[in-house]
Amino acid sequence: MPKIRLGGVKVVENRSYLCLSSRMEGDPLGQMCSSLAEGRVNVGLLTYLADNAIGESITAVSARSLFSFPGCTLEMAGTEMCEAAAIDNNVCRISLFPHDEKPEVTASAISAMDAGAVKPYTFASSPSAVTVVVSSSNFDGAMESIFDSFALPACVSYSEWRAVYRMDEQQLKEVRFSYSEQIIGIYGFTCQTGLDLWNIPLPIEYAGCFGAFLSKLGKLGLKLPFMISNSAPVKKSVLFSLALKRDRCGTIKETLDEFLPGNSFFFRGPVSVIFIHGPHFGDRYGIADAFVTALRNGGIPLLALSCAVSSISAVIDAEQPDKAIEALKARFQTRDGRR
Amino acid sequence: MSKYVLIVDDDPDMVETVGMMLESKGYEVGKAYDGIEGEESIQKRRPDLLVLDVMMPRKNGYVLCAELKKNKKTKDIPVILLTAVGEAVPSTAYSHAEGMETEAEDYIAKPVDAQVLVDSIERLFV
Repeated sequence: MPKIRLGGVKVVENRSYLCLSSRMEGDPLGQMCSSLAEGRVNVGLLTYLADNAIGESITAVSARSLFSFPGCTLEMAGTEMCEAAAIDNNVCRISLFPHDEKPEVTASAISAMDAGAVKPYTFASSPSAVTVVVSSSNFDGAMESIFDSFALPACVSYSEWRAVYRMDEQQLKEVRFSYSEQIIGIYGFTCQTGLDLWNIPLPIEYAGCFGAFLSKLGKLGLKLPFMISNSAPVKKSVLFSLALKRDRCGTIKETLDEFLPGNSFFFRGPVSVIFIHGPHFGDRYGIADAFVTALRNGGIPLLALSCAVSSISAVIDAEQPDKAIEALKARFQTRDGRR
Repeated sequence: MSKYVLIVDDDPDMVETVGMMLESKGYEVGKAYDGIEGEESIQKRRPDLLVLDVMMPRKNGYVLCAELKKNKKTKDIPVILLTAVGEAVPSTAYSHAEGMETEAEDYIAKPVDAQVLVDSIERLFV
């Protein structure tokens, strides 16, 4: 099978991961975001699903180290609000780009992890990239599988990449010094409408079949503007949540039945996805909190969320995008002063 | 024939956003995701203009810009540096002043406004 050609791969190593599943009446997302912002903790990756169909929301976050999580965040894991928690203090985030919304790219990333016997904690999409979080103990296997599945421009093999790669911690410090905005500068708001939010729970060993399902969707001409997955470290199941075109619902059901016959799924629609993107969003603290707070203040329920690389993608009800963008303008603006 | 603009930035969402902005204005756009890749891309095809991020792994934008300006084959390529720097933080290593020292033709603070970038590009092409 020919390798998919990509623009690049970006890696952030030595990070922590915390995943909470909570009763839906609580606000673990808001609580987590605000405590991380207060603690000036950069949220490198955040995913959220409001409803996993059994009365729980799932919130997963990756940050610098477990010690960077404020105590109140960790304490949530022990409260009545929290049904289950999973923590890994040594994970890596691997971002592949660009995906151009082609499901085949995410499919190949999932299949690569499956082929390498790597069980990722989370997948999270941004408008251009797909990020996967893996335990550091699986990092070498994950990267070797990625280089087996994708053609990357600068290096032909993982060992070659490893020889030239270095993470620039100093650069991240400079980023934090460089931004101190009351109103956060962004490139703009974009929105996709006419979508459904599909939620597909799977035993983790079926992840490869899910990859094949996505790959087939790509061949059928579907785009994948949003996807997250959550798999707690100690659990043996994974829940994929993806936004797909509502007018292709029949095709999606048929394809799902072809690759995952009898597998349960649930979907909600119609929904819209809002995207915002700003410089170094992944390297700065308080961005996710500003976003979540603005939507909450505007009375916009979040159905699902992905903060990855330097973008935020939010799934909301189909009728809400204009209201949501208006609410977000209280905290975010384009640089020329348009608000 | 449309002008060829190469964007070099390690933020893929940024590359796509700016790339779409410029394509919609009729430019042909090339993309590279770090300084080394940008350098290789320039060797393969000389751009008419370079939009270059400052903070990048492997080779940052200042270093790449300085190298291009020292090389007689590439010194005439106009460079627009994209910086994360606000005027309020002059002490950072990535300051406006340092950008000017690298002899870039222009610098623009991120997030880039489409019209500001296009105006700068068009001014440099005159």
